[in-house]
Amino acid sequence: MNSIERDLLDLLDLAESPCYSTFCWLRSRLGGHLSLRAFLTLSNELVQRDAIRMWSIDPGSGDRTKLFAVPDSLAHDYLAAQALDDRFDPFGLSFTVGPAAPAHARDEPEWTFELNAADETFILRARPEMRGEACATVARLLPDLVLDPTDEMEDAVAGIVRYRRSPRS
Amino acid sequence: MSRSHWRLICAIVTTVVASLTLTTHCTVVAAAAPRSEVTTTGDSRTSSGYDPSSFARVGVRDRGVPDLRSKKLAGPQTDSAARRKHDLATSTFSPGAAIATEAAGGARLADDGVAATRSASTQWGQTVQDFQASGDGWSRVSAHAEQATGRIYRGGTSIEEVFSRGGQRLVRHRIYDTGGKVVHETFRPYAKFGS
Repeated sequence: MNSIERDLLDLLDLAESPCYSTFCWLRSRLGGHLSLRAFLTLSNELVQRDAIRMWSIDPGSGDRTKLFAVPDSLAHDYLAAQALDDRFDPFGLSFTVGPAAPAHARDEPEWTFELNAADETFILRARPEMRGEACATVARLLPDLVLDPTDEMEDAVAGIVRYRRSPRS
Repeated sequence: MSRSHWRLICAIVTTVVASLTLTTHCTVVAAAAPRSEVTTTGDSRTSSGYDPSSFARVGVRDRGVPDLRSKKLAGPQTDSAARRKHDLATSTFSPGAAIATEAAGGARLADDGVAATRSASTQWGQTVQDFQASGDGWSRVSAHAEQATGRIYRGGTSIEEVFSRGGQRLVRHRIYDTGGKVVHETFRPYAKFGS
């Protein structure tokens, strides 16, 4: 696994990533020295090996289709698109880590937080000594939330949320 | 004939020869180019679910999907798009640079976060731009946050949020550094299933 692949998997470990955003991110990591064609060739190799998976998501229906190869017209399609933005893929394409991804060290996060806005509930999974820091981080980064713990478990805290203001910013 | 006349004639001949050479070169390069630089299994547009034409282009004249190999790159294509297509057909071109140029003049300037100035050409792109611009009517459905443990963003926080408006849903992913600054942000359509 080379450094580019390692960077890519590092990013995808955190979350699914839009295809065009992934290209811009990698190019930025390489100081601009990555052409779109080289990126798509690399991506295609990884997709073929199932080290990463490529998806096409229909924004209207939410249907997700697995692609078994990078579309051969994609470079042209990006050039034809207007107002490209490194924060999304204009065609709804994205990558995730595949089952055949090379083993690479990734520590499990010490805490995770799930918010269900419909039920106005949350669950924070963390060891007791990590909970304070985790709650403070969530409160700082999602400032509209007020967390009200109701159930303390060995490895998690569950509770209800209230909103300070519009949950949008 | 005077010397200046000869110079003029030579200049015209040189220009014509250069034009013909360029036209022939582009046609040959385009024709000789492999069907795809990336190997695909069949026609991905029809067999794999990816169809850029389904992302209805809005706000611009629909030019369809360009196919360099079926077009002769000559004639009055003097705009930037034509130049980019010409460059794409040549071996020295780096599409990333052209895209970076377009991106910089497009929705935003990546480095300083200037707000959107141009409209995206797909419905999905416009949905994202609308969300970024105002967010009117969008509400958060769910969120997942976790400590970033990867090599690159170690110590930061990764947050994925799902927002909805009517039947539309989108996912915003942000990575914050230890100081709470957004260091990475992407948007993607919400997928109902699959992994």
